[in-house]
Amino acid sequence: MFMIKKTSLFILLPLLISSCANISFSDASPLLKAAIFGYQSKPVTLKEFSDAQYSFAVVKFERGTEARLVLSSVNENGLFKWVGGDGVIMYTLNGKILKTVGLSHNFELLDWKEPVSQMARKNLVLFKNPNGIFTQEISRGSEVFSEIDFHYEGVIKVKFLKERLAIRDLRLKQENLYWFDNTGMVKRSIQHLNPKTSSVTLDFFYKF
Amino acid sequence: MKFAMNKLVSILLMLYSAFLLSSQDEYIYPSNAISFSNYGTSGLIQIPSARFHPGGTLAFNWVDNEPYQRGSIIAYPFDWLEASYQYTDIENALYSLSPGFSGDQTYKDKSFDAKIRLFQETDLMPAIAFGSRDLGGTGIFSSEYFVASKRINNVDFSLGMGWGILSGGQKITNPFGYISEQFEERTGQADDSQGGDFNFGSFFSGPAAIFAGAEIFLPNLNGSRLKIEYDGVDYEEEGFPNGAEDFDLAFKPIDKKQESKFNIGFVYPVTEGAHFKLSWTKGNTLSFGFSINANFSKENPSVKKRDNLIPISNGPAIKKANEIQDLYLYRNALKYLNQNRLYLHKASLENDQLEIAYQQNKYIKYAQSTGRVAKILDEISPDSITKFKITNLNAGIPMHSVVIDRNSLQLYESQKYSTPLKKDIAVLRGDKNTVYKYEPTIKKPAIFWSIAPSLRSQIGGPDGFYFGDLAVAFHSETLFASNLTLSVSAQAGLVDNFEGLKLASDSLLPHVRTDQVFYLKQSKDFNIPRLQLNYFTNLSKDLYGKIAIGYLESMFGGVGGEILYRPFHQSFAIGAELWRVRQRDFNMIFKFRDYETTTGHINVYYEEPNTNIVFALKGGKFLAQDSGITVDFHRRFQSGARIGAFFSLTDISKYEFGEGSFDKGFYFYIPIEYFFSNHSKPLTGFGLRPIQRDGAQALVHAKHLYGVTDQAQEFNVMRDWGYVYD
Repeated sequence: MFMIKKTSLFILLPLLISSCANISFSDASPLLKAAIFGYQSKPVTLKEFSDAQYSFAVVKFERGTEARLVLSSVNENGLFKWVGGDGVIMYTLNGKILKTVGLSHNFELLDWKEPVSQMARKNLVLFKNPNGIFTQEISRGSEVFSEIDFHYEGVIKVKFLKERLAIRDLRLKQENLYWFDNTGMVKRSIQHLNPKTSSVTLDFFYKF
Repeated sequence: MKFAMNKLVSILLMLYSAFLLSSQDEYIYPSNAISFSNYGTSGLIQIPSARFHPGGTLAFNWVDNEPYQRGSIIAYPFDWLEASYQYTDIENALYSLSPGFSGDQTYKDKSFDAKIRLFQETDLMPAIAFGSRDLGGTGIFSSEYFVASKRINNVDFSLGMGWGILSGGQKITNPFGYISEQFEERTGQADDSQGGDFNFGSFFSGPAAIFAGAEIFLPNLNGSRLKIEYDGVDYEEEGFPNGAEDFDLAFKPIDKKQESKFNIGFVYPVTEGAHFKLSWTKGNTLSFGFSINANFSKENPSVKKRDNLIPISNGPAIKKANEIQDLYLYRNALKYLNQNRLYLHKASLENDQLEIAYQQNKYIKYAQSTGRVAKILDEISPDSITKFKITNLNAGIPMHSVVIDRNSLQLYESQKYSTPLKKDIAVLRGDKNTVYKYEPTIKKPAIFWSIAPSLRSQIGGPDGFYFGDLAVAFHSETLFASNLTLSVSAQAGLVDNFEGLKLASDSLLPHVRTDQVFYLKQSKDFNIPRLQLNYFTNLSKDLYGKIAIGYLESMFGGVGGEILYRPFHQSFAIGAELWRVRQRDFNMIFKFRDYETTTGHINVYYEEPNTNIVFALKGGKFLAQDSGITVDFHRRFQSGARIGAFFSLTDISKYEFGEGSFDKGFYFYIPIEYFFSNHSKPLTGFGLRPIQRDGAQALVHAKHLYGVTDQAQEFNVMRDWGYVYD
């Protein structure tokens, strides 16, 4: 899970063609394409889903590469632990990320007890690297029916929910988005974690 | 006791919350990256600060601040040293008095600035730095200064004292005047100077003045800053304020005189490494610009590496099969190493030790490639093998061998403990007399080639600011034997704007470089920059040799060679090279011109182990038959990036050398792998001279022995030992 630092690309581009170091365009073109258009997502096929032994989530940071996290455990409170190959771990409560480990800038909701809250509430949020604790105000909009194009399943009917986040100390206002299937499980979500990272999109594939 | 404990807990909690609060600031002020002044060095608006980017940072700054447009390249070889090259367009002067020569192009000034940190900031004391502007240029921006910077909460204060052009602030008595009368008056460039001299004689002389300013970090505005300063620039002395009175080529005075000594500016960080800036200077001038910077020193590249070893799908079965016959082991080693671009050349099994010799051009860190070879061998080797001896070849020559205890390799692998593994390895000089039992037949000649774009540029000449061509280039390396190679580069031009180039050389020396205009124009359709046949040999212990013949570089072809003594357990090397060369025709294809010469140097290298600074001293006869020395030094960073500078002094006068007085410049190289998800050994970058002249020009042949034998020194192998499990 990574993104290209745009500043580095400003420096790379002239070097690519003025250098005597002979950079192969077969190496360069995917990088440039990714820098301009972002990394393209690859839809999960039915075979991939069937072959998967455990539930998994496809995670993608804005313009970054896609990664897969496998469901490693579920505790008695319904907290899901998703583990990635490169040491990234995400804890979710019905799709809402409560804690991350292994990212360059991690995040943790410190006193979260329930799934996407029905009521407006305040929470302490801990951002890591650098460390900072802030009070986050969370409120939610009403659910509306919607449709999404979801990998091998095609267009499916979902319930859509918007969660509003505000940190007054940082004058920061953001929105997390959730799409629930008809069983009430989150199928897709776009969430904001640490202010130093871009938003993350998660697509969940449950094997239970 | 309980009270004391409570007190201790309270103190710890207070300290922790203070720590959190200070970290919390980094979200409120998310960008603390040092910003640049309009003069292209770290600072406020017009004045410098005592701030430095971390070592290994490269930056570019561009500013339009009437009557100047200035582009700067800034390098930080160390945390305490800032070196920058300034290219300034001066709008009230012409490049020359001859419109037929330079048209209406305005005057271009090139200069070097440097700044050194004297004291680092502490809780109570500010950072203090000394710097000089226009250190090696025409002197029209020449100034020296001491400056102190202290950050208090979200405000970074700077206070300094300046001389020369920076003596425009609050005037004070020059303190150096108490030491000697010579500091009372500021002198210009020496009479015989052709510009480009370091005019140390005028340092700290003439009037002195105080300047000051503050950079205020604005909360929750993405790291934006407001800058306010009391200007230190003396606009009556800077550039050509009075037009033709100051300089023949100045066609008008500067329109806007200073109306206010206070400047104000705003910096908006688009990202941590890219800033846009706007400022109001002199009370009447709006300036704007941008800067970009990136740090290339760290092992934290832009793109995370994703090319792990290709897994061996049925390792235990292969291991079992390899117990039957040694040949199976050799062949499987060949197969699984090759598929990871680690090319096995030789192998031998002696008792419990498996020896292999391999070549690679993928990993910049030799320990990493050794570690990967060891990992593959460990997966496929029968359990009876307890040691691996892994020899790294380059140009067919054994460069170094690492003997690794297999048990230790396995023991520390899960936690990637490279340090304890060090105790169970031996790093040996490569032995060319080792006899191997297995040598796979490699089809010769083996040809490796690629096609890539190529750009040649000429920037800042009198004919126009930029001339260049874009070409498609073919590069190949043909191996007739592992130590006999042919390097070829050829390129076909696609588009260019060379028609306007017309500056002929005025050099008094043989035109070994200054006929560049003819080379560019006449080779624009097709050219062969290099066609070089190389033969490498290991003459004896620690002594290496090379012979080369062909079109050795774009302007010279010929024959010659070099020898290099590089003791394995030391960090120095001594070499000599001698070449008989003839100047190539301007079309850079096959023909030659009449000029020919013999050139050669004695080269001494030393790499300082703690700072990783490589010093090179090269003395001898150059292409234009002048004799002298070149001093070159660069710092090699953990990532493999290099930032360096050079200068040459030869037996020609400043007058004979021409503009610039002597040859000098700087360069930087960045590992290509910094930008890609795959490991890659080559570096990319460029070098920059203020002006290209003929004096002190050495032959630029490919595959210099010092580079080829880089891994023939224990120091260079062990430097990156931490990556053996990577």
